[in-house]
Amino acid sequence: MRQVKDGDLRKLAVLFERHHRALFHFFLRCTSDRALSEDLVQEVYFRILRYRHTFNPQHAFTAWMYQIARNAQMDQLQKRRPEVTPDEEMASASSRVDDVLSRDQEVALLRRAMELLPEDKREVLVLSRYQELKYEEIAQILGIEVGAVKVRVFRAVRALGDLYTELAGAKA
Amino acid sequence: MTTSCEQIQQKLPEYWAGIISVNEHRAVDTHLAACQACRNESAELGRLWANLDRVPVEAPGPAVRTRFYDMLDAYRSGADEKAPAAAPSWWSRWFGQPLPVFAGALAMLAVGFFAARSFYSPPVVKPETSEIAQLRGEVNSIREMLQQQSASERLKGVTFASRADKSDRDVVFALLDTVKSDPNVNVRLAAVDAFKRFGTDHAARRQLLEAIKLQESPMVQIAIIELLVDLNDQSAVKALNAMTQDDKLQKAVQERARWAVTELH
Repeated sequence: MRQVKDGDLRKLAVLFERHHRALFHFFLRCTSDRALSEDLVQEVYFRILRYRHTFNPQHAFTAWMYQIARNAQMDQLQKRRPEVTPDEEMASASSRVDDVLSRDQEVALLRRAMELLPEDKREVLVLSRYQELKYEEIAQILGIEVGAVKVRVFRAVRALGDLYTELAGAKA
Repeated sequence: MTTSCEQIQQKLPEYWAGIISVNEHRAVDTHLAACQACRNESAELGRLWANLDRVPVEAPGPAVRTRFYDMLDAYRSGADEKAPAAAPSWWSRWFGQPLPVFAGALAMLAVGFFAARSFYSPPVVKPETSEIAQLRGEVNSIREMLQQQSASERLKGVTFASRADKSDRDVVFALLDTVKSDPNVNVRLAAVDAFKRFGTDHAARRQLLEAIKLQESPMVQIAIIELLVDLNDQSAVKALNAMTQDDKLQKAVQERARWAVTELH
């Protein structure tokens, strides 16, 4: 990234090849929207180019990239997401659960439970569980202390467990 | 010293993931052995944590890579145009392409250019007549080349156009037509680059600005916006400002329009 910042824009291709899959998976797990996730990957790399002068080489590139990713996602979701009440979300999720239970009940419930998590909890869970980031990096991305990251991750898993139990109970 | 349930709970995700230190692992084991509530919760949530691996996720489609390289290419060509010592952006863009068709087009272009020069300069004709004939011939050739079925032929036409007399409005508007309606995005991008030479024509610049909305390709839209900045077209600010709020345009285009407004102010 240092070379990109210094003007060798071709080197962004190396960063793209190294990180775009993980970035796409981050967006897909957070939004469950494939087309939106592909757009967001594009948007992140455009912003990296556009704001390359603000990169601080003393910090990890991945942390900076995920900070940009969060901002891009927030911008998109504010624009696209209609207001939906939790009850409506739960009813909608339950109906979709019916469609996929025959395939793999447990995984389907878990996926729906993830979708129903509040955005902040889902985000910290995805960052810690799937993105192979150190807690120090997650702290940098979220702008909080490492201790606070640990608390948030546990609370997110607990909330996920509650939703999972609720969905499983509704299905039983 | 007894570790509280809350302190242990914060360590559980790292404990399940196996990324906890030996000492902390021991502390968690000790607490779980003594506290049934935490033991039950760790077992239940730990299983959930492990099962998260089973939730499948799709791979990104091939379009993600294509779009990225298109964007990078367009962005780099914009950056190259701003650097005074840089090669012309259409050249760097096509020279960087792995496709043999473009390499072939460039080779043919070089041969064609020198052949045309020698053809239009017979020593027996008066110099004035020779120049006029050459210019007319070139303009007609450009028009014809811009209407060829082959994209590489049209690309050659654009390249010839970039060498034409900059007061020649026929060439200007032939290029504008190409920017607006050529089916090949690469030809449209090359036409935008070639247009730089004709930037003093106010009416043509207005049409170029209007061409942004006719584009389906955000790359071409961004290239036009960057060209308007290069041409220091202050009269485009109002329209560019409107683009920053236009939801029909892609976010990247809106952002480039925002940048352009800042640059032109």
